[in-house]
Amino acid sequence: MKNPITPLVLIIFSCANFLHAWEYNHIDIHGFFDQGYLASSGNNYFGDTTNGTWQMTQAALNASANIGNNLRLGGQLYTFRLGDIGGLTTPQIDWLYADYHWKDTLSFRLGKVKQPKGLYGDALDLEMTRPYIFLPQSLYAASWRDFSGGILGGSLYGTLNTHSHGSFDYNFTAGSLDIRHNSGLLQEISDDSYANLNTATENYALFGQLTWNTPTKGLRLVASSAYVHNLTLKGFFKSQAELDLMPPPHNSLGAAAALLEGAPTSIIIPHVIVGALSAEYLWHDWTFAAEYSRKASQYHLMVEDPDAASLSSGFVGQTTTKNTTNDFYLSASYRVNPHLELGSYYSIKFNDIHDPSGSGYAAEGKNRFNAYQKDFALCARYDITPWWIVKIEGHLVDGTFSTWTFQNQPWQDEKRNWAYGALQNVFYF
Amino acid sequence: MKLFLYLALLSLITHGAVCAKPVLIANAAVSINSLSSQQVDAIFKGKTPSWPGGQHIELGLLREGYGSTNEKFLNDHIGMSPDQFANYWNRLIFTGRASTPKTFNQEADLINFIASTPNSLGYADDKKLPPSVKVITLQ
Repeated sequence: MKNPITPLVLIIFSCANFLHAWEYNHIDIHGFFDQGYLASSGNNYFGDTTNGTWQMTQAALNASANIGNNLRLGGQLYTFRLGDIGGLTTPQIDWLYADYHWKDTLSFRLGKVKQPKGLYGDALDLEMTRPYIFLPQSLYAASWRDFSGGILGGSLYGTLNTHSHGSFDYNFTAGSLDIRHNSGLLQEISDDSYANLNTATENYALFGQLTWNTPTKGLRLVASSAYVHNLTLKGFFKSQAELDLMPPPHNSLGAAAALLEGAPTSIIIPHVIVGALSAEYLWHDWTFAAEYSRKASQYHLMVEDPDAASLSSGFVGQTTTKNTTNDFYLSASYRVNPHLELGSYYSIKFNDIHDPSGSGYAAEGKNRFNAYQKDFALCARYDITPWWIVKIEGHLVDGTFSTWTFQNQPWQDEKRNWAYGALQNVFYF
Repeated sequence: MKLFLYLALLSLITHGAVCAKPVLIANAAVSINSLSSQQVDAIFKGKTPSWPGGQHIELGLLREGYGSTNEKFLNDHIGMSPDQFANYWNRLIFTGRASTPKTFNQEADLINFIASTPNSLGYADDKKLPPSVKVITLQ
């Protein structure tokens, strides 16, 4: 393995054990270190994966402690690199909050809290909790980790028990997103816009989740929703050369491109509304899950340049794009024995619920198959010890919704049917 | 005849193993005598961290194990296999939502922990219990 710190990590983690923290003065300390290898055929995915990449690393260290009977304090430092996303030298606070458990039916968290979304929204990075390396990308896009990660704000949460109808867990979270300059969100939106975006500013976000733990043991049904207001992404208008590498309509701006190059540009997303319905059933050594989600959003492109207003090409200072994505997956995994778990899922994402076949893309001159992504995955997880896991995973994909144009040039040569695979080494304590 | 006796003995041994009956055990000083199945579920899933009197529950768990007291307790009362339960708790720990329960390889060590730790709760085979721990009945 190329990563030089892996042997050191192996030694450190061998001193720990499953669910065993390093405890210091009643402070629990846990951590994980994951190193992966990602390769693809046909298209690049997240990075230079057609040549194979080791840029698939994540690590975290957390500490937490109970203060009295009701108050809990804790935080986690996290860093990751996935191809061109993230940076190992810029760790971030993943979560850091005070949790006051007033009573089971009503408790509070304040600080940077995890976002409740679907079945696994709070566990995006936790490889030790699942057989899959990549969660289904239709609902849990790795490139949107910042959008789906921690919230600076607070939560109200609790559990309501009924005598014969199971129990209901609820979570209401409010605050603001914490989007970093090297995040996949900024790169992904830049990849499909006129601007290179580098900052994300003012916004607030609301999240709600209701989980019904049904009387049928192992079955839970979850409804989640999110509303993000006034998310503003800022950057600079692309150069003519950059626009020429993009599909229509970006490559057909003509003389306007030269006028606007380098102009301060914003993408304002006044409303992002996400709704998801989820079901999970644990039956003996099987885990079944299915989730359906829609995300509706509206983008305003604002070019802060006097020349923009004078253009008569139809591209003026502001353009608006609306779309509603349609996301779904089914998954099943089976624990064969204490060491081996096998899993599979089929995940579908459509960029526009009204155009699943991509005919609108084709009419614009884009690749029709850029409008969707259908991903069939098979994986195996092997627990070597209670603190060391290895995983292998393969994907067959139809469509290129989640690939990026700037990583796949010329875009006309992108492959509709392609594959990717990953190996993952996971240490945790 | 020998084969019959051997099979009968094997059957008894197997039956004995299968019939291992896990029960809830608590430190003798815990004032609670019984819990509902919903309370048990909530406590072992980290949703109820305190006893009704407000004291923090010191949870004791067995490590992953198949064909064991651990597997039977988790299947019967929590609706999870040992691996699913471990995944669940790792998720709580790495999102800061619960403190790490004490985990033990040996049932005897878990029983000793319960016997010596105030406000503790765990589970063990009902045939192995010393008088220093209290059995919590299910309502």
